[in-house]
Amino acid sequence: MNQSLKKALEHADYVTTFKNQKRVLLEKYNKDCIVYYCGGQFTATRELIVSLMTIDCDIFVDNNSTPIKIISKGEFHNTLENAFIKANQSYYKEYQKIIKSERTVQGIINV
Amino acid sequence: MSKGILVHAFNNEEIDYVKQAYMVAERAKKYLNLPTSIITDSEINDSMFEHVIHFSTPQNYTKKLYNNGNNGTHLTFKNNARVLSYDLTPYDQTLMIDTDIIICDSTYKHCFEQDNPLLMYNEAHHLGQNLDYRQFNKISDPSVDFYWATCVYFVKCKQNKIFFNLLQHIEEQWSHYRMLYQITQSTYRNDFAFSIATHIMNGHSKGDFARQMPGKLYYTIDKDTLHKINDDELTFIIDENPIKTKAMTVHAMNKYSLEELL
Repeated sequence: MNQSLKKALEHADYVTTFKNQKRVLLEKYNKDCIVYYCGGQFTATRELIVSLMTIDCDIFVDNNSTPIKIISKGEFHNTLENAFIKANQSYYKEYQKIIKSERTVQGIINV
Repeated sequence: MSKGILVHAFNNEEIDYVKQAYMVAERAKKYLNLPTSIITDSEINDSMFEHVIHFSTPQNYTKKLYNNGNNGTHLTFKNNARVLSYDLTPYDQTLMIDTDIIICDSTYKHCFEQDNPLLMYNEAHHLGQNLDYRQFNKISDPSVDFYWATCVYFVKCKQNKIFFNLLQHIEEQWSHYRMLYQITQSTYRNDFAFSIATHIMNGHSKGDFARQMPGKLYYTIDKDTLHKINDDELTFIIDENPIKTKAMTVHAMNKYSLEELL
């Protein structure tokens, strides 16, 4: 096989694997942002975290459209914030690993 | 209230489901801190399982195509006991899962921390990027929503007793329900029976009789290969490309490659 074609195909495989790994990391990030609280399931988003304490209401509708009574808003806020920070840090750390890995299929998988 | 994991493990000509059940029990203990009970027709003397429920009642076995990558074999599939799970489970709160689910995180423990008595997935996400998801949206093109019997959380209560009795009825009268719900496939499939029963219990419409399981159900099909298991890291080969996951529970349908790694 022509050497330049071989290199192009290897690069194509590398890019496919990179995209796959980034997609899997994003799935994990989304999963890590999920918080289970008072029997409800909530996604820790910037909007929810920032607005939570400013709204004078202790009922929140969760991801499954179920209204949930939040017993301690302070604790709920901390739980959301911790999950959000942890998810972001983990995503950043794992993403850095793959972009700093050897630029081959094996290099990404070995991180 | 007692709580635990329930698995069905009926070996066939080539697949050792009991071996896979050991993996589930080990991982359930490690990641969920929950005991596992097994329903099987094999002889098991092991403390890995909290209860061994022997079930050897003759069943209407079906044949199923098992793929290992691109090679397929038709083998016996003993899947009829699943509709009896309500009566067979030793737990008040049960999470019934397939033996080929590789637990890698604690997401499932949240089933036991909420109030809905029945949870199932009606969406699943393939780890690859090229698979057409539509085959799992409905049980057939003109029919009802698809629910996965792969992973079902249920509490002992009147409502679920009715649900499981209905499942038994659907299984017994499968040829009728298959025609009614316009399912082209002739062999009985638990996913279809659970989907039909959920539809009926919703008043023959869409509804929230079965709520969503926590998190997402990730899966790989039997044409994908599980290449490596390293604690909570799994490496799959999908469409000739490697995909590695960490701390994500995955339903790995290629039982041959799973067994090779256990």
